[in-house]
Amino acid sequence: MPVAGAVVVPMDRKDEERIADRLRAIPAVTVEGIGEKGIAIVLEAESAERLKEISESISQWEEVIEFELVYLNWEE
Amino acid sequence: MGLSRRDFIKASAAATALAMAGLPVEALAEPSIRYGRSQCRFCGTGCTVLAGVKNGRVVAVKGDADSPINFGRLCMKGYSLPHIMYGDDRLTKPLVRQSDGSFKEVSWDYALDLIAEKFAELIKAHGPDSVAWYGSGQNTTQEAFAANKLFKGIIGTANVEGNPRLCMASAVGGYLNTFGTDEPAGTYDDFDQTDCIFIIGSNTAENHPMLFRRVIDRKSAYPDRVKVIVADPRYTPTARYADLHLKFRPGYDMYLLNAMAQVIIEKGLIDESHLKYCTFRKGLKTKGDFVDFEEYRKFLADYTPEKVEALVGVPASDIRKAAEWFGRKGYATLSIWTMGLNQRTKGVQLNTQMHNLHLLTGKIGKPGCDSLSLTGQPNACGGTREQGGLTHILPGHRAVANPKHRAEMAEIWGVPVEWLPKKPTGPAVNMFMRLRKGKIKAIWINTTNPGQSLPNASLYRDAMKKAFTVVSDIYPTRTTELATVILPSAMWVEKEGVMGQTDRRSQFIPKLIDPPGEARPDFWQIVEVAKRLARKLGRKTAYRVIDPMTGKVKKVKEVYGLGFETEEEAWNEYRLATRGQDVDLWGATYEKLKAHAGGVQWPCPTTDFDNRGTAKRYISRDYALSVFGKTERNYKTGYVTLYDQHMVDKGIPGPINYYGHHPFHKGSKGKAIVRVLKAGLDFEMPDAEYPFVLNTGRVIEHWHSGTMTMRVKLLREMNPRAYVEVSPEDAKKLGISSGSKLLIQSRRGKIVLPAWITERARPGMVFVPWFDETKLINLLTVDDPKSWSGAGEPDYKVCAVKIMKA
Repeated sequence: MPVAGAVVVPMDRKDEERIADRLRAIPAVTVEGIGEKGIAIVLEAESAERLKEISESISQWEEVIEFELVYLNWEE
Repeated sequence: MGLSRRDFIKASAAATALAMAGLPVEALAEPSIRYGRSQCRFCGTGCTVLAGVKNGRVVAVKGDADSPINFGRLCMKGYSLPHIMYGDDRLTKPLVRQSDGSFKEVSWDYALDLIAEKFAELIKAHGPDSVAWYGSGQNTTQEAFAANKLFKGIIGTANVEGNPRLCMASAVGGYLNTFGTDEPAGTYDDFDQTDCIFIIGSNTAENHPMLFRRVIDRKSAYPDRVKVIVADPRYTPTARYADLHLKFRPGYDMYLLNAMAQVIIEKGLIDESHLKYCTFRKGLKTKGDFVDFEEYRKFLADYTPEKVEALVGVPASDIRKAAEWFGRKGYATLSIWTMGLNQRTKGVQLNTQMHNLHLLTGKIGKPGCDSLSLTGQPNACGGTREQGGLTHILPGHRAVANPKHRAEMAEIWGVPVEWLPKKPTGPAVNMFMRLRKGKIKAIWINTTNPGQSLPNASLYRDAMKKAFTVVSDIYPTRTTELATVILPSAMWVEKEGVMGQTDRRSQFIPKLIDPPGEARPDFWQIVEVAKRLARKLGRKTAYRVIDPMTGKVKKVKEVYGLGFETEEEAWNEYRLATRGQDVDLWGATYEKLKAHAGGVQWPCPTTDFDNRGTAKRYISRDYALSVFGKTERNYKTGYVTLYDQHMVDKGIPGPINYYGHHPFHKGSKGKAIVRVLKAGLDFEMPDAEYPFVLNTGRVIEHWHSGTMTMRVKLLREMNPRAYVEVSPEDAKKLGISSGSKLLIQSRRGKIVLPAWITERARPGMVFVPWFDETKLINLLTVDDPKSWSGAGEPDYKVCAVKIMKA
């Protein structure tokens, strides 16, 4: 099961809590914190394909500038 | 209770994400992993990475927080670095093709002797121009220097080319035509101080993600002040982020840039104080007359936004807005571009037009201002542009055709000057054309995949298969399948070397682990072939010891070979070749390169340990003080100067001096040249028979021909196969949906690909990524010499095709 760490960067900082709530609603996502450079999350998916689907879907949200992958491990 | 392995991985993911989001985090460390500082193996950004080694394998990688390039971040490809090394089909033994077409494992001695024997036989029978070297922007500088010395210095042929010819030769032409010397004036730090970022011909978000991250940081910090303009026919992720997207018709960007220049002048956005450091000249190179500013202004009257909007396909109001944001008085502007300008028939002109805009507005040499061509490979700048890894150049920005330069290099190489070729042969595709005609009979292809990357590739694939072709690589590729001899290479941290990136930066890559099986560093391969070949040719070289701090050279003996044995010895000889040149890397000692995250930026004439070179070129110390308020930028270790150390070293007067020496710059007397250029189009524009433009390029998951990234399971699964991007408008006309099979046909070849209907594509244009070795899109692209830029670079961005349901 691949595990990823990512930073979700809001288009506008005032939307960050709303984005964090949307992220929390995704079962594979854990929101770790909200910092000045974005929302830190951990993604745990059953397959690489699923990981890709989730990350692409988040990056397409209108209120999101960028989904920045910062850690990736799929050794297990 | 201890952490399970999975808990540890999740905690690591969380810690990294928290740190990158700017939140405090408790340090996590796995003590059995030993980290060594290196540079990412992929694009030309040169992100500094920490490679974690355990039991002789790279098992982890993380960004280096001390790096002034990526500040600890990495992209998806960067995080995949450990996995590129451990594909199941890694080449581990030398192989020689048999008469039945199969490959047989042989010993290194057998393979090296065979190569030396065949090359010597051909050189003796047909002359030195019967053999050739085709290297890469992924060779280390030492490998490139060794190959250059072997072919130009000992064999005596200028048949030395490399894949950087296919990606950034036009950028070199642009810098030479404008400034008379290659590579940019500024530095990555300009991202953090700019107010307007103009991106053209670059999908930075996908292909230079860590630099794009700096764009986002700057824009996020000052959302109203900072404007991001993206000029691109495609609606890429980069364009999605822009304040203004100029979705121009493919091929018409020369009109767009002339129109922006026209608005800048019309609206009084020029910087009068900077114009005294500029001259105006019609055309390119040494041809054409000097003209004055007034004549340039009149010339641009034909390019008002209103006159060109229909051609360009962008509303005049948007062109005006872009020009006004670009030229805002009192604000900084940084431009970046890559293959979208370079891989074009008018590539050199487009590059110079970008410089024109910066010269007119004076947005150069100041904080946040630069005209910055990004490179695509991790050592295209170091190993090729600076080291002289193309047919017409010698190390340290010297020219093959210049007798003084040849004499200087002969002295440094320790060979008689008569051995060096007196003139260039031809650029990369021309070299393969000569291979096809049988004029070149043997070629050594190293760390690159021309069987997949050359335009109109089928012609040259046949040629490689017929010739005596040596291929050094890490995995089987569409080029190794054509080889006579395959040499298994070490990669990345399996070997040692130096690489140079976009902003005149050189970084050290240490050897952290052993290569698998019998794979060996390319440097070792070249040194060993040189010993054997030089003996057969009867050509001895001086073996010298160079003091790394004083440059004092002590001749030890005459040898058959290159005159150096180790990467460090080669680096010191190369440093000597740059000493006193504009590309001065004398100060980049091994000690310094190893110590400083982010390396050294040339010109760096001094070996003073803390001095990491020059951040800003062409400006004096006083001028730097006046515009930056200081003269140096300090890092965690060492500092760079904000003034040009080469100017100080050579006593070149300031405050601003475009001191280029290249013949293209002749007569300009320390001034930059604004090139007055009529707009033109690419060689093969669409017509009634072939009505679509084919554009090719890269995607975020893969790099170049996919040799490395397609071995990474996650990246392969994320993007497994090539496709063709089609606009919704064209899809409707064709009656297709995503997944439909489409036949794409050019005048040279055809291919069937699944369609992806997407807003990314512009009507009338299709885009195909080139990473997929099972679908060679370069069977379709154009190789006609008339399609090459003035710098010999082929046009991969505009070729005419027709498309239909398959």
